Amino acid sequence: MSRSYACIVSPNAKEDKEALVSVAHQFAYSMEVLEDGILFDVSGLERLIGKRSLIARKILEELQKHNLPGSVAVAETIETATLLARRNDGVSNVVHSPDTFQKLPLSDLPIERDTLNVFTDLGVRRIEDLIEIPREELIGRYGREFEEIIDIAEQKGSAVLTPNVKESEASWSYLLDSPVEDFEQLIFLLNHGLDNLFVRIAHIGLSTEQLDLSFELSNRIKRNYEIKTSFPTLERSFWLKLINLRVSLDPPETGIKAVNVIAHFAKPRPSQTGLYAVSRPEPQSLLLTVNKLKKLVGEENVGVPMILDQRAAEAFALDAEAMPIGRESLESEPTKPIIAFSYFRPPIRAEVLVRKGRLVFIRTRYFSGHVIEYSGIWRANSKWWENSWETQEWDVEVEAQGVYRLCKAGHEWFLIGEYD
Amino acid sequence: MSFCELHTRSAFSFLSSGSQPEGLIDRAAALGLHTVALLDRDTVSGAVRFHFEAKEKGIRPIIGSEITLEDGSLLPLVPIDLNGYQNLSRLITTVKLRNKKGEHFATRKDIEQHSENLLCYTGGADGFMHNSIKAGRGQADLAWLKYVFEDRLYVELQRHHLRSEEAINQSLLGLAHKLKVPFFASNGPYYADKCDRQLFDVFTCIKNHCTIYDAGKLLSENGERYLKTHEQMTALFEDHPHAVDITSEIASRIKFSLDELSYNFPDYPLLPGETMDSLLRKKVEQRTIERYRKSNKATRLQIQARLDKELRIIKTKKLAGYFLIVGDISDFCKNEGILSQGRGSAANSIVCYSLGITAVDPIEHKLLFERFLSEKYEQYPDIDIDLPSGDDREKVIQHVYEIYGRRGSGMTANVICYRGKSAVREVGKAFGFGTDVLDRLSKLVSHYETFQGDELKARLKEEGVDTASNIRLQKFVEMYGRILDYPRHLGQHSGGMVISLDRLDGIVPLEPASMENRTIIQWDKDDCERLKIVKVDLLGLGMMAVLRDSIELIREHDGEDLDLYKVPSNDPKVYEAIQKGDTIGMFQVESRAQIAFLPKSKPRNFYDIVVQVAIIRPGPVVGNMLNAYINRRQGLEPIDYIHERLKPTLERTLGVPLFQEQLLKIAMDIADFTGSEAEELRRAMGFKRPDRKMEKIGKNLRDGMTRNGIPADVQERIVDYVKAFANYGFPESHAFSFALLAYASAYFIVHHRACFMVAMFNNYPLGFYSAATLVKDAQRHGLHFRPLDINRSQYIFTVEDDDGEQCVRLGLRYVRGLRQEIGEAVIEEREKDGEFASVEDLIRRVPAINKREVRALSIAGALNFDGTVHRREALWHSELALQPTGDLFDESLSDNAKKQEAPFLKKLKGIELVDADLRKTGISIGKHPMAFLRDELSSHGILSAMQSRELVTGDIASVAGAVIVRQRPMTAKNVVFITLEDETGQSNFVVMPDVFERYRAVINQNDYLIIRGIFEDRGMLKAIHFKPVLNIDTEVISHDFR
Repeated sequence: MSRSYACIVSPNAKEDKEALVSVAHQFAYSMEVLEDGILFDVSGLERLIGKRSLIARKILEELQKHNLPGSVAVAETIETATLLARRNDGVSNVVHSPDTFQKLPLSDLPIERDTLNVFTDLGVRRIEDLIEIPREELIGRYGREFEEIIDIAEQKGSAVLTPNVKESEASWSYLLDSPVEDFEQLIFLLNHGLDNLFVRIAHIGLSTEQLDLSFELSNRIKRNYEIKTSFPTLERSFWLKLINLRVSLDPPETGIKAVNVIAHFAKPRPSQTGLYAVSRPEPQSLLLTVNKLKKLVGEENVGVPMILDQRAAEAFALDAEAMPIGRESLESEPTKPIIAFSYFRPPIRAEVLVRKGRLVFIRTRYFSGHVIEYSGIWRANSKWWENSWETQEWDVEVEAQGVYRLCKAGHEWFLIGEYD
Repeated sequence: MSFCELHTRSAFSFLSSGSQPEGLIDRAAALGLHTVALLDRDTVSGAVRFHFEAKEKGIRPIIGSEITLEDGSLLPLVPIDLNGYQNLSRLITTVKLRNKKGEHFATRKDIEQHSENLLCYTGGADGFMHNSIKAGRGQADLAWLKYVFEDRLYVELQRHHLRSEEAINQSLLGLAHKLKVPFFASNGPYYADKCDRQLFDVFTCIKNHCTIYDAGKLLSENGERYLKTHEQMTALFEDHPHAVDITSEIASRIKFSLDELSYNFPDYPLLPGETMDSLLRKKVEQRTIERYRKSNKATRLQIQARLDKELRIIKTKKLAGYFLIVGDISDFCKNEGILSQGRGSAANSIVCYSLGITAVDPIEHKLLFERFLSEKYEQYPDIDIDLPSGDDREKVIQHVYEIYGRRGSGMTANVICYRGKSAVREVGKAFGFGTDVLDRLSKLVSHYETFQGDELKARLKEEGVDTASNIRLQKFVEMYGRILDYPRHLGQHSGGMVISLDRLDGIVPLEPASMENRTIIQWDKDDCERLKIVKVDLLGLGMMAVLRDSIELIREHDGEDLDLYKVPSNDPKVYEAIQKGDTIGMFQVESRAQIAFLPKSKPRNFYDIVVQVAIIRPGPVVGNMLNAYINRRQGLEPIDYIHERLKPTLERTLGVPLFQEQLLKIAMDIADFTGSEAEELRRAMGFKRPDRKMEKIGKNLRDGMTRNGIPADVQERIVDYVKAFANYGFPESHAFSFALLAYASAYFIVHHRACFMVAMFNNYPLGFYSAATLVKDAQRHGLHFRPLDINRSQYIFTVEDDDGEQCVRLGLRYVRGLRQEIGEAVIEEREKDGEFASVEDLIRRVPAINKREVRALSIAGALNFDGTVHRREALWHSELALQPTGDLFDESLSDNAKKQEAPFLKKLKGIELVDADLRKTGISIGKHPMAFLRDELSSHGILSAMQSRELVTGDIASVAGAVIVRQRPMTAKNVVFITLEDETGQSNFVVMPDVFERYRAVINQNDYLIIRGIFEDRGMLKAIHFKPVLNIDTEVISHDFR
């Protein structure tokens, strides 16, 4: 019995992936997500819907129902369906096989450019022209591997569907009888939920490194929290601590009516612990510490400092997601003296006394004193092609205090950091 | 003591500076700096412009260079005196010639060997000492510099408000104190003004192949590297005021100026007791006798007087060696059988004529020597020699290198600058536009227009892109405008060669050209002229090669022994063709404008051709002389000489001054000027800005006219005339030289069309039209072509005799993708072992041939084997034949291939065949593509080119054809000219600017057009509507240019 394959090609295949999968799900269980659309096996639907053109029309109707752009083709082979659907990319219509297939240009077939040019010179421009040429003649010139192309042209392609749509997440949810004001009261419940979830995940040999937690609040608003680790783990207590820290950073403003947790699947990390002492903190403890710090100083002020390869007013940025890279090697490179510098967050407003163009005295709310020595102006500016910026800085030594970096923004002065 | 900026860099450091030399000087003048030094990277290319601009602005220019060292750092060197400059020039030459283009660096040994009389600075952030200090070897390296440069070494301090730089400065100061090296302050400007920093950043992106968004720290930290005033520098170095003060002292140590460069042409080898002057006189007199053997006594007296005068001036100017050497080059050409002809003002000289350098007799044509060489005026002669392009010209160039040495001679440079397309592409890349966008932007700037100012913005708006809402596009447009005309790299001038007595590398650095065995000097022809460096232009002229080949072919096929200078004159058929404008292929008179003008001017003699060559030029068109000449020629307006005394001079050009020699003669006749004074007048009048010199000469002119009784009102008219004309006059001598070639080419084409066309095709590309158009024109004149055939064609085109009729056999040269060596190997093999029997035979006997070449030959129709197979079958067979096989199967396979038929392949015919021809060879000997549409076009009332010639003024008609010319002459105030071609000939259209703007996309993006227009007096249709011709898609090569 002959088979039937459907292909949908969409200009927004990436963005509409989920929706396309859902449309395909209505016709088939076995499907393959392509870069530009989706392919699925509709064999047997002839009995239910009718001939292939009717199946194609039905699929198109579904697409239109979901407001999805795309072209649809149903054919006996995967290659035929795919080529036909691709021919009309971006246009929502149905392409019938096989007559229109033979009218397709040869350039749609996976033929090398050089060979394709020869065919153009020979006047062989469409698939129908190619199949006119005896198979042996073609093979004699372009080798056995060209047989595959001839098969495709003759709609005898042998490609098989490789299902690649699988579950990628698991979820757990709980509807409360009455709203709970204090999140901590839910920890017990969450503990149970995570236990349930993680058992399921472990059962299929996977792990997770991202949980999406959402609360339905009594004011009908939804609060979502995305919690990530830099390594996959199913350690429940660790996740609970992370959730607790994350939620406490930004607690729900009113009572919680329902809880939903989605765990995204990840491959488990093969690890061996306990045999040797590690020279750096366990990743779990580090992550917890980082989250505790975030709770203390605010999320935007914690991360790994990264020196930027760009001319920027601040030459570094904090990467909140990155993990610090420890240096385990004890190789001693010749160390150059480095002057350490601490940035003030936020910068400290200052009053500066300038006499005859020289900095003389500085007063801040923390200290004041005469300027003993200073250097500058240090000027930097860039990004003239978009939002230009510029800075003016001085390095000042304040009597009995220390060496600071002073900056002027408009008419205002700030101390932005201190040399160690 | 005021501050002198001793270390700047200009755009001639290529992609490393944001200002032109002139920009630096302008800014320096505005800031009140009195001395500025230019040190470009490994070059002095910008030095001459910098020097003269500085002198004009009252600034003292200092020239030096930053030398790239092994570690990539730079060592700034400045010559103290001429000897120092020679050392610098030789150092740059040594390092440049030793390495591949762009990969040069100097070793410490090089520096040591060339250090004499050079000042050395330690450099800025990319300088040698900054690198050394960072690498921890500052003291050792500074000690080395001190050892090499002794008291000519200065530590350079630069302050750009950067912390990192100050740390190095402190180290430098410590080392300077320790080793007792004086230090000075510089701002090391990379650009003249603050705002130029943006362009500098764009150049940084272009240099590093990155975008402005991902350039990161490659971009400058701030914009402080601009020229600063004395006050700014004093404030910057208030802790070291001496560093600023000392700059004047250092500047005063530097005595060298480019004015000191005394350039000498090489001595000519002499026998004892001879001088160069005596030898030149001897040679010239001997050859004059040969040249003027048939002249009468009166002429001989005239000749002798002229010779004496010329030789006296040559002696005064010490140029005898120059003439002898150029004469030798000319002799070398003759001995080697290389066609050569001097052109330009050299043709005004009887010395050049006698030595055989030029072919125009200045006595017969009354040409003024003063236009070439003036006694008073300091200009040096410039002799241009036209040679057949290609191998012959290369032979002459290599001869010069051989005689004067690789370091004694070099080609002049050509400064390649950013223009429309290159500016759009490079700036667009820097702003991160993808290939698609770049292609679109690039298409906006066609080959024949470069947008200035806001034009690009307007063009983008037309394309639906509003820059107002996009800062990225705004900046792109701004940078595009600023980058235009900035130097991009040094190329090679088309033929200018400079030769020097002392080694040329002591005058200007030499560097390798991209062509093998060529070197170029770092100055272009304008620089050479300003420094009075005499050059010889060995120019490749395609038409010379065509004429050379034509002469040989005519001798072989027509049995006539012609020579360039023995072409029968006053041939009626030649003038008939020229008068009709039937001049495609003829030298200088084949352009669209010439063809439109010839039927009106109707040249009747050689001098008319001389006028014809000179008159279709921007000058006469802008000066409205063209119309005046045509009207007078057609008797539509009276001839007006302004004054009777001008009649003898202007009679030949109907009272319209066309030639520079006429201006000289006018001044001599009406104001009693000497030849030199007249030449001085011509030059002074040519300047756009009035100056004292011009006032003085103008007064002399008026005084002279008053003495000769010319009334005041006529004087004014004459002065106005002279002023207007000085800007556009064309040298008559030059027009004579070109007219000789024009007449010869016309004679050959009219009487020996097959031979001439073969020569044209074999020397293509040249001239105004594509090869396809040349074929069609020849066919319209009854010339038959024979197709490509592997067993008949040569590599080049050949003349074949067929029952007394000559035809042209297409050569393999035009098969695209066929390498020359393979094409020649095919012919060699055929001549050795006979014709090829099949594709397999070809592949077996010429094993180096590759599959693409076999395919190209097949579809171009060269493998039809006497019509036994058609092109597609040939290609099909070759696909099988190209399969690798072992010896065992060789024979059986080839038999197989022979037997195979391919009924499934349709034979190429009709327009498909023409299309294949054009795609594979660029020419077609079949029907014109338009012929296939003729019936349909006629049914719609669309005319052919031939039918359009019957239109009368005011008729409105549509004509269709392939676009072979899109032209927007700079003189035509944005008017565009279009030429369409069909099977009957060509039709010309004029497109007014508003119509062009409306149909810009249709005009620029379609190869075939239907143009509706109104027929005008001038024989052209004034276009009013355009639409593309549908259902046709073949290759058309259009001559698109400004």
